[in-house]
Amino acid sequence: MPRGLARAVPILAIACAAAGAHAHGFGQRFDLPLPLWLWLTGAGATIVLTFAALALFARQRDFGTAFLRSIDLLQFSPLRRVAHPLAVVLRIIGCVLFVLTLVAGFFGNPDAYANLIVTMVWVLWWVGMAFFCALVGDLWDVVNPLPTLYRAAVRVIGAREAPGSLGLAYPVRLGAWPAVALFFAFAWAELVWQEKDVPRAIATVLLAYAVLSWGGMLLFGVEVWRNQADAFAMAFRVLGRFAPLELRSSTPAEPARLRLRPYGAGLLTNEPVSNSVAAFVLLMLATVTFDGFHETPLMDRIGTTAQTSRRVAETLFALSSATGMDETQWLNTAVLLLFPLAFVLIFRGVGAWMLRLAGRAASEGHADADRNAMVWSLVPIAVAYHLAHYVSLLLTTGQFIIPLASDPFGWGWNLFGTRGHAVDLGIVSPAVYWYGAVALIVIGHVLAVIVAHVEATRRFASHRSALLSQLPMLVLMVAYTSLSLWIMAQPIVS
Amino acid sequence: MENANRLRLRLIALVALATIVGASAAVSSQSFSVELKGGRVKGDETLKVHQGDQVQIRLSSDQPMVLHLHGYDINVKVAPPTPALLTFKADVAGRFPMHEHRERAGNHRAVLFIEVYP
Repeated sequence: MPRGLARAVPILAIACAAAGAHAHGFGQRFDLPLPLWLWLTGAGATIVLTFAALALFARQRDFGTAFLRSIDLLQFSPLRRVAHPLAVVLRIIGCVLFVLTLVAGFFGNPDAYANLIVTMVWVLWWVGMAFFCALVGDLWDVVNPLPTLYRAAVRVIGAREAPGSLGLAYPVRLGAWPAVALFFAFAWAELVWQEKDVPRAIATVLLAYAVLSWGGMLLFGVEVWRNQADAFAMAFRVLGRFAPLELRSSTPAEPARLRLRPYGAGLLTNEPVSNSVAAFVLLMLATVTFDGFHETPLMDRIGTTAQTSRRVAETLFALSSATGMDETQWLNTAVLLLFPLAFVLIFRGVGAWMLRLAGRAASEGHADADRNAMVWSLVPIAVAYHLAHYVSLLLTTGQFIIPLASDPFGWGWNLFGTRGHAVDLGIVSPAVYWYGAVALIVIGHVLAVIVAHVEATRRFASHRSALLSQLPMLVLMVAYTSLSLWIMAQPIVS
Repeated sequence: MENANRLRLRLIALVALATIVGASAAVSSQSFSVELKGGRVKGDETLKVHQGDQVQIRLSSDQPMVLHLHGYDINVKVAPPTPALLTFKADVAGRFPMHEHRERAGNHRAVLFIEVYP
């Protein structure tokens, strides 16, 4: 077996860079669709466990409150002593990798597979960092190079006493809407943009984003920009709420935080959730779902059907001849826009139903806050689906980092002797992928149900209204989980 | 003594037989014939095989093209009227698309999918 297998193990060759429309920013998944029986089992388990949880909640009002506890890890002096130097080292690594990635993008090999930037941005950073933030803690908050470089620049220029910004008041009405707009642009780049695997184009966009961020930091201050307008700081923070480590680097106003808590506990929050933040979370969930959905045969059929309608076909043709985008891209853009809108509408509908069942008196005067707080409870399902959807991509396409480490610019270097290392596609067997994906999504669903219940108990005075309020949320969650499982049971066609 | 020898012989024969049967069950060969017209497959566009199968696909097309099997990364040149033959051992499970290989990049659909089941 060893000799034959080694020869025959499929390899993602460098030559195939030009072939095929890639579903994600970069790389291709070769996952087999879930077998029908497994999809049905997963959906069945979801419904049964939902009712089991409901029965437990009905008996015990404070079911799940143990969730709220967390331990401050910085109270232990060895940890405290290690944490700060470690954060500094990680921050330096973050800055070095950021600069290296940019330089590789601008000056390195134009081939997508030979240049560090493509694998770094789409696989290691966007997928890998998201996994780490969701499973361990919001590392991005610590290593984000943009604030680090900005603060370093301010220090070098010599504004030691100055606050490092013009200190303009951030318009309250804007809320987190800048982050929403930037995240939509990012999702579009990931899923529709034609040049998403062209090193120079990625580097240009990356630099533009950095310059925009630094401009924002200069106008409004580092922390304001980070909290309201930086799409990535916000996205990783949303995922980090699910994680067991609460990581927060120190700011002028607040000391650093390092707390240990159960999975999902960070989703229970006393901070009010504005409409823009709720929209941001829903946009994240919607784009993850769209990512899977737009590879399914159903989306393919929607595209074909849309083209048969004369008006749609004419509009698409007019759009594509006026711009550099083809019909498929315009169609995908339209559906990418419709997904988050549909998510927001459904969420608001379910929210209204929830508040009605809870009783008008239960949420007098804070209906928006009660509804928006529930958006966090959907995050575990999104995290689970995200993990299931991307794990094979991270483990296969992510292997490109091994040869790229030796030759980041694609100039033929061999720094660590790993150049030419071949990618092994057989690293995740379909059985592991199938059972792992279904188990993850079902566990995510159960966590979501618990989080929503604890949140409802905290918000609605009577046990009865808390329980009743959960029925619409449960319907929404079962639908969302089943949709996620259904997408995984679809063959990838695009 | 003779009995013991005979028993040993039978055992050896049995083991040999089991090996042959086992091997033939594990490595079966799968043949398909695919006809392309205008760059599209006539009929089912998904071929299903089992991991370890020796796969043989006869590709005929009404126009010349180069097809690329992703993942396994095999290129096949189809030059009508002669059909091309694509053979490989399906060692890794998964769903592998086959695209038409073109010079310019752009959105184009897969022509054929090969699903390798464990």
